[in-house]
Amino acid sequence: MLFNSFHFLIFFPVVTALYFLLPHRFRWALLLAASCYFYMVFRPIYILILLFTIVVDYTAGILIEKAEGRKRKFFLVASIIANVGVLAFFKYYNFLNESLRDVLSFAHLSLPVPPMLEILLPIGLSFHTFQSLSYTIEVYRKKTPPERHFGIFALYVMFYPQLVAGPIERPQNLLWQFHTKHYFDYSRVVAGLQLMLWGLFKKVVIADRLAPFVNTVYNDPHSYQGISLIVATVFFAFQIYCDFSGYSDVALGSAQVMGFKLMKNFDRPYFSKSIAEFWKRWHISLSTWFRDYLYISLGGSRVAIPRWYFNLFFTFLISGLWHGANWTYVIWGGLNGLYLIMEIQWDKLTGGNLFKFEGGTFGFWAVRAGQILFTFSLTCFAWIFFRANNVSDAFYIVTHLFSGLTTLPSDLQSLVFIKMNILMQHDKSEFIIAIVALLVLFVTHWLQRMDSGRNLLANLSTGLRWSFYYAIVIAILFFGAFNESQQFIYFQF
Amino acid sequence: MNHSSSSTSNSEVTAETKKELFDVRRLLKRMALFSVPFVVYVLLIFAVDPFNFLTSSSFVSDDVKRSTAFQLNPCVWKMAEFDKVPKDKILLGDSRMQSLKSEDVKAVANEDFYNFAYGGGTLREVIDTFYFASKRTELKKAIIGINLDTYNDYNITERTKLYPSFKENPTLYFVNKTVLQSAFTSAYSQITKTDMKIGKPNVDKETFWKHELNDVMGGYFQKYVYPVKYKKELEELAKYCKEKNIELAFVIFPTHVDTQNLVKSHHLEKENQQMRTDLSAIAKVYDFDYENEVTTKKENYDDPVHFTKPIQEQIIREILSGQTKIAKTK
Repeated sequence: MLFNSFHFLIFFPVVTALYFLLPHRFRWALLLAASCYFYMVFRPIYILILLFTIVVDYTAGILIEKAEGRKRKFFLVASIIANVGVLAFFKYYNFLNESLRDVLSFAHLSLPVPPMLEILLPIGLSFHTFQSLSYTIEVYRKKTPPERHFGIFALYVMFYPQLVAGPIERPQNLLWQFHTKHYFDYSRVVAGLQLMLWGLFKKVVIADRLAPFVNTVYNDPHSYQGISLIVATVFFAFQIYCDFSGYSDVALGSAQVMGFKLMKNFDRPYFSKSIAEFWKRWHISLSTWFRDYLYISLGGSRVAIPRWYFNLFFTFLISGLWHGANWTYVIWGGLNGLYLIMEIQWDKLTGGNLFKFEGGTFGFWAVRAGQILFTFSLTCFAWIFFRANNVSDAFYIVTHLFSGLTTLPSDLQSLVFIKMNILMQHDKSEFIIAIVALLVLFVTHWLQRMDSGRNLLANLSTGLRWSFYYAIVIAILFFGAFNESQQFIYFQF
Repeated sequence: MNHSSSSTSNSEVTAETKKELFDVRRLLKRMALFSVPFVVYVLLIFAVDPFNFLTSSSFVSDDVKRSTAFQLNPCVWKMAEFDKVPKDKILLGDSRMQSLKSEDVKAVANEDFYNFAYGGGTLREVIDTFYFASKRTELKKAIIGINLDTYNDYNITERTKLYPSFKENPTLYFVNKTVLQSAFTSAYSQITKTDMKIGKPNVDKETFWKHELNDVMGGYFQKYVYPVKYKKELEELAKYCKEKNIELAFVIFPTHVDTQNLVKSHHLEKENQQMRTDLSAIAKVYDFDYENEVTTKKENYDDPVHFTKPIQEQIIREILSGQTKIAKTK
């Protein structure tokens, strides 16, 4: 079920009303049933994969706690193999198979290879696999006791707000919340609804409005060059941010309405002044997952410098591969790893002081804006690989990004040029809506530097606050892209 | 001791329940109040129904709706109209085909066609509309207007998805900005008796001529992409017509020589010829678009692509009587 569907518009209030009407002891069952239904709307049969993961990790948790010494590790490894095995089969089988065929063909070898399979990727597989894995790892590390209640554990893996696209929760943060009784609290419910509204705005008004421009160019990049490629890439940067953070906001908001607090997944990432900062503010639940379970396990930064750099690079490569079975994602991950290594190296060479400016407010803000723009440009460059349909398209885009820019000022005098290369033949009203919505996003994020969105709204008079609500609801209803039923980008991961 | 702690716990539960009930009522009251404008809006849509999607009558006349809603989105209007009263003969294409009024067709050729062409219509819309009509009724005849600017893979406008989406989920009709705009303009036009002048250019003929030639047609030709996919879809459409005994024909409308020269200046003569070859391999083609007594005279045109009423009637006569004077048939 999509958060931006009428189906969810009925589902959410019904489940929430039933949740508060039921006695506490039955609520887990309601949420579990609702989560099963939520998931089964996509493809019912794949619920069995979730059941497999749940049974394996529930059992592994209990066995790890009971076992001693090497047996503990054995159960952990068994759980990891089972989880990663499912993920590898559904997500990477065909990718690895195709890569093997390419290598054999390149080497002119004719060896028997397994057949390609028609596999439809279960929605959100990488998310719930990682969430389930974090449980067994945390039990192994003795940071959390195993959950004895099978239903509650199943709910931990399947909790519908974050089931298909995160945030990827840790057992310490979520499991206890299912045991706690949540009361209906007006302020909390309103805060949750506000977050849901804002998330929907980001998804249907910004992300889905930008999508046609991005798709037109990225589905046929060879017909474009220069400014069109730049516009499409910058639009994609905002599309993916609004799509994914919009989903996270609806997830956090809907959980908050019922009294659950999920971890923050985004923190205005495009205001980052460095790549390191960007990764502390982008998809936080995944970044911290990789940090805690892979990067630190590899030795983190407490090793020799070459090994440290390898750890960073390897973690980002795997993060890229986590996103999808395509070399474009691997390159995207590798690029981000390289950025980070270069940034560390640069800081070492300059002592991190080169861009520190202490002479006056204007200079301070100019340097800060420069840092933000530079970081954003690097991020956009990496997004090219993330969005491109294949490596060849990505390289075409990279090599033609600046073509024709010298004549841009005169080209922009022509309406035809604007229609073809900036609007990409789309309606100009669509473009204006997208730009206005982006401005709203920018202003909101700028204001959020000072205070949370919730507090900013609370400080407004009732009239202004309601006007803001009306504006957002009207924008969602009339400028949102409902009829195109756009899926969330991250569902495919 | 037990009794006192149990009564304390009971009173806590009661206090908590009371607070919950108070909070629920507070939220419901505010949400109800917040919803009032939306309820009023829904009632307005029911009352105006700008595309006649919900009912066949409303307080706004069809004439007013034609000058507002129809101008804002002819696809939704025509699909809704056709859905109610389908006809077995249809005309498909863009504004050039749209200019051939059904009444004139009936008067000139005594055939009852539904004009299913849209201003700014694209090949995608033509194909979608054909199948929409075919799904709705058993078609006998379909005439499709195509020129080089529409036989272009780069022309990607697609407005034909909207009406089927309304049919599938009528709620979308209430949250569509074209419906919103149409409802307000229709209601305003009806109440104030104002002609909204939507879609009518507010410039002199010469300025509009230049705009249409350089910006609109120039835009299409500048980014011309040979429509491999659409050619295949048209072939499938022709095959479908053959299976269902639907008579199919194409019309290449006469464009002014200025437009024909624009094709040459964009080095698209080869593509222009290829289009004719492709279409004639699929079905019968009436080709008016070459240098002739119609296309060389500016007085036959409102702008470089849209011909005047006498030429419209001549085209109707030629394509429906079979007696061609200007049209080359293939």
